[in-house]
Order: sequence, then structure tokens, then C-alpha cells
Amino acid sequence: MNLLNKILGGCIIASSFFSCTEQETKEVKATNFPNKDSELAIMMRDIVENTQKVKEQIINGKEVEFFIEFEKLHTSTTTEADVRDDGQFTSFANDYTNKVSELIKAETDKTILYNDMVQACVNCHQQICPGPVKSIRKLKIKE
Amino acid sequence: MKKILILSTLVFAFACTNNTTETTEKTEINYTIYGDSTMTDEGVISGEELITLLETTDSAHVKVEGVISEVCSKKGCWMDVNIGGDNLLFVRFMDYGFFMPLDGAGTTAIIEGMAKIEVQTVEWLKHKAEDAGEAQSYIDSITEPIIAYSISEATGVILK
Repeated sequence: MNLLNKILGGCIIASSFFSCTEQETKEVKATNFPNKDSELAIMMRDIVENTQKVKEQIINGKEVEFFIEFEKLHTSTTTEADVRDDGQFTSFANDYTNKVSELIKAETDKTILYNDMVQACVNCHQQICPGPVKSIRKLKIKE
Repeated sequence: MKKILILSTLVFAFACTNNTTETTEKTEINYTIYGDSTMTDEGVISGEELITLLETTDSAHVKVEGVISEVCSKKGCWMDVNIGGDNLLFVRFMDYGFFMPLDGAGTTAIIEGMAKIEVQTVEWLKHKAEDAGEAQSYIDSITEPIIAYSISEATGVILK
């Protein structure tokens, strides 16, 4: 019985501690893109992801693989509705896709052609959307 | 055995009653992390402390707190943060890897990254003014670069 008394006493003490414990709730959310992004903005992120993979493929001497549907550069919705109006974007986009084609076909000089392709992105962004220029330059392969 | 059951019931009844009548303090901490999801607010400094720090060093890795005064209206890809008086900290995000909510102005932010004083080029200032929806006459009037506090590659931001 002594043992039972001790157990019950322990329960009472424990329950009173439990009932007085201060409750703290933390709600922490993690997100990276909280706004409604345009199709082109999302496509650009896919292009970055694809380019990083191609960079690795070239460094490791593997075949390059693109999964991007490049024709959507000309049809996807844009953050700024008038971005294609003066023809500048279309011209840069064509230059970029030509560079991609050259890289896909190349048997040699892939690093040079890859860096030319990345530079085509830089050229466009410098004129149209300079925010990501610094991060795009990081995609280049150091020769 | 009956005694044990009765006593046990009383103990739990007591505990439950106590829980419902006790005034428990509830602290809610709600915030959102952008970028480095492991970021915490540990070691945060004020804007004034950052300004003092940059008087004696070219750059410093910091977590600094301030109130957002403006966010890029197109994508949320940059922001100005008030760091005391008229001083603004210009913030961009590592590898364009995360953005701020477009309606983030007025929110308290903790920004982690390498802070320094740097030149903002005319080209960039014009682009920023375009993003902010400024009139063409204002954009054309930007002809000189400015020196500004900046974190050009923030690794994480906490919005409170």
C-alpha cells in the first residue's frame, strides 16, 4: 500500500505540474515564391535548373539533355504584358535558342558553346530584366 | 483495487479541472522564412548597429532587423528596408532564389547576408524606378549613381 500511495502521490504532483505548464505555440512557415508568378517567370526557373544540369553534363563529359519546351518562350504569359511588343525579347530569345541548338549539335568545344549560350541569357537580361544577371553569370563554366 | 481506481479517477479529474480553470499564458510566434529555411533570429542586430559597424569595416555578415519600406512591385525581387532615420538598406536575394511578398511594405524583416556600402549604378536605379512604376520623366532624371547600404545576396529573410 505504501508503494501505491507513493505512485498516487507522484501522479498528483505530476498532474499539477502538467496543468501549470505555459503553452507556447510557434507557427513558422517557409516559402520562396509568395507571389503569383507568370508562366515565363516559372519557365525561367526551369531553364536555370536545366542549365545547371547541362553544366554538370559538360563538366562530366556526358551528352547534354534539355527538357525545356523552348517555343514557349514566345507564347507564355509574361510578368510585364508588353515585354514582347518591341521585338527585342523575341530577338534575344531566338539568339538563345540558336545557341542551344548549336550546343546540342556540337561534338567539340561544348564548354565554349555552353558559355555562349549562358551569355545569350545575360545579354537579354541586361536589357530587359537585370535582376538575375549576377546569378546567371554563375552558371558559366570557368575555362 | 477499488480504492486505487477511485483515487486514480480523482487524480485525473483534478488534473483536468485544473487545466480548464488555470489561466495559461500562450505565446504565439508567427513568422515566415524565405530562403534559408534553417535561419533563426538569434544574433540579430538593429539597423543603427549595422550603420555603426560599417563605419569601421568594409563588409560584415549580419542578421539585421528593419521595417520594409518598399518591395519590387513586379516580382518582389528586391526590397528597401528602413534601418534608422532616413537610411535604407537595399536588399536582393541569393541567386534570385526567393522573393518577398508584393505587399510586404510595412512588415518587420530580419535579413541575413553580407552587408556593405556599395555603388548602385544608374542602369540599376533606372530599372528600379521602372519597377516602382515611376514616371518616365523621373526615370530620365536619374543620371548619377548613388552609394547605399546593401545586402546584395541575402541568404534568408524572416518576416514577422
